[in-house]
Amino acid sequence: MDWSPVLITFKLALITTLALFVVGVPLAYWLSYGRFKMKPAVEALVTMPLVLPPSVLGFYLLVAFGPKYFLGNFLNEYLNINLLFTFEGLIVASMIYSLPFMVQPIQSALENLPKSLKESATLFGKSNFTTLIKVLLPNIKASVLTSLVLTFTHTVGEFGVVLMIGGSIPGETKLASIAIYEEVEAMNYGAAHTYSFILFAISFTILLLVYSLNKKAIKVI
Amino acid sequence: MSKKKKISSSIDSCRAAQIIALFCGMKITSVQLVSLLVVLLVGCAQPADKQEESGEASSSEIDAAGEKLTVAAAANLRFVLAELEIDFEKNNATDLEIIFASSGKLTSQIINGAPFDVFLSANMKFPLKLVKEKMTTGKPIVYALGTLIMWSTKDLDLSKGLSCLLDDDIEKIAIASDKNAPYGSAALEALKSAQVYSKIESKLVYGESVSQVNQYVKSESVDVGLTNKSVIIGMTQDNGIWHDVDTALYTQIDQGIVITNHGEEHRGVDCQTFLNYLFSPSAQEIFAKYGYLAP
Repeated sequence: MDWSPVLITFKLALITTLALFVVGVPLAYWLSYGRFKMKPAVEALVTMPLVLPPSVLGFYLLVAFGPKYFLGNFLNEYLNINLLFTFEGLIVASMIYSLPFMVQPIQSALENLPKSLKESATLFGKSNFTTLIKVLLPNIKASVLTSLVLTFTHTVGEFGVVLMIGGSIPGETKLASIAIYEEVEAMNYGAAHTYSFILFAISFTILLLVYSLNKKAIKVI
Repeated sequence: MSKKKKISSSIDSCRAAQIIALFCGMKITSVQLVSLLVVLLVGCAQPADKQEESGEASSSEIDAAGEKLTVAAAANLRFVLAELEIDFEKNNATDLEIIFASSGKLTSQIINGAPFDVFLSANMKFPLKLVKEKMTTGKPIVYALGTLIMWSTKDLDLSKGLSCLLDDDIEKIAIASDKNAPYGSAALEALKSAQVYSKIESKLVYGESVSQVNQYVKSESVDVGLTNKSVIIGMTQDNGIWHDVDTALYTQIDQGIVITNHGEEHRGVDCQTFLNYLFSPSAQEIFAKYGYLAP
């Protein structure tokens, strides 16, 4: 039994969640407190990965990262980074794919905080960054947890995008979802059952642990 | 649905959508939801128009015999079947409905009850599996022999055969997944026979079927792909460079055809007509044009 699909699935989900947290929190902060004309457009863009079928995302990433057009060509030639058929490419793709799951709960929660919280911190002379880390985020712990959990589990379930730009390389881009799909197609139902059950069991245990530790979590799933 | 009912049910779904959205931490105002609904309704209106336009065409498509003959075809046949279909439909009343996928995928779909009438595989192993699972009536027959080539849309020299894959210039090589695509198994076999497999294994990228391999090559996502010959004849504009893979390196690709139980039950006569057509001189000529060898 080859366990690498399961291992790389959870590795990808973990790295994506952490990376998205670093990118998503500032974005959510900007969207909730910023006042600028293009705000609805940015919000729409952030929501796009939620709406579009994964095959559209996969297709556009294939075109964008491919050596034929500007971005892929630039990354390949000057920075020697290849984002197609690599684990790193999957990380970037997953970050785009799960972006709304990280940004939207945090943005919504920040918008719902009483204004006085941020204002009093500013009056005490604290910088915006300190306010964010020490005042705002601790007050929306439940939403932050929701974001992290949703991002993690959404990445575990990624299939369409990976199918298109992954290349199913064992040990690198062959995620559990792809492995299960291939085993079902080849009618190795035993192997498909094993992978599926392991995925289910581990995901369920993680969620159970997270929700029992945080009693105030909003149960959105 | 009357206009009033339509509006009230829209309002209900509007409220439902708002509640779900709230749960997910998104705040959507009623105005925004109404604009969303407008977009959706406009979107729903379009297919109806398109249906009316193509209504005339589709009714003429339905021939005297009734429905179309459903053909499940291996991915590599995409180009040759396009021409075969036109030739067949010229002299026969039956129309064809062709579904392309990897042979393995189609096999498992047929076993699970997919309503295909005829199955054109890229090997004999999968049709024989159908015989074993009692999903067919007759025995599979070889209709053509497949040929494997190396194909690239980049500026490479492939004249030395598979050994040029060892070149550092070639960073990514695409082959079909050997689990479900016979061309993938053939490619793997050829690479191992040519004794290059162990050295290039890290460069390999696996496509679901030869279609995905072709797509990777065409978009230059990979440097070289091992695929079926018909792609270079099928893609007439700018078809890159290619080189035959030495036939001694892989087991002959016997592509087999079989009529399924479903086909025998519903369109037995038409299935047999189509099968006979594939062995006719005009069909064999088209196969040869696309690089297949006679069985």
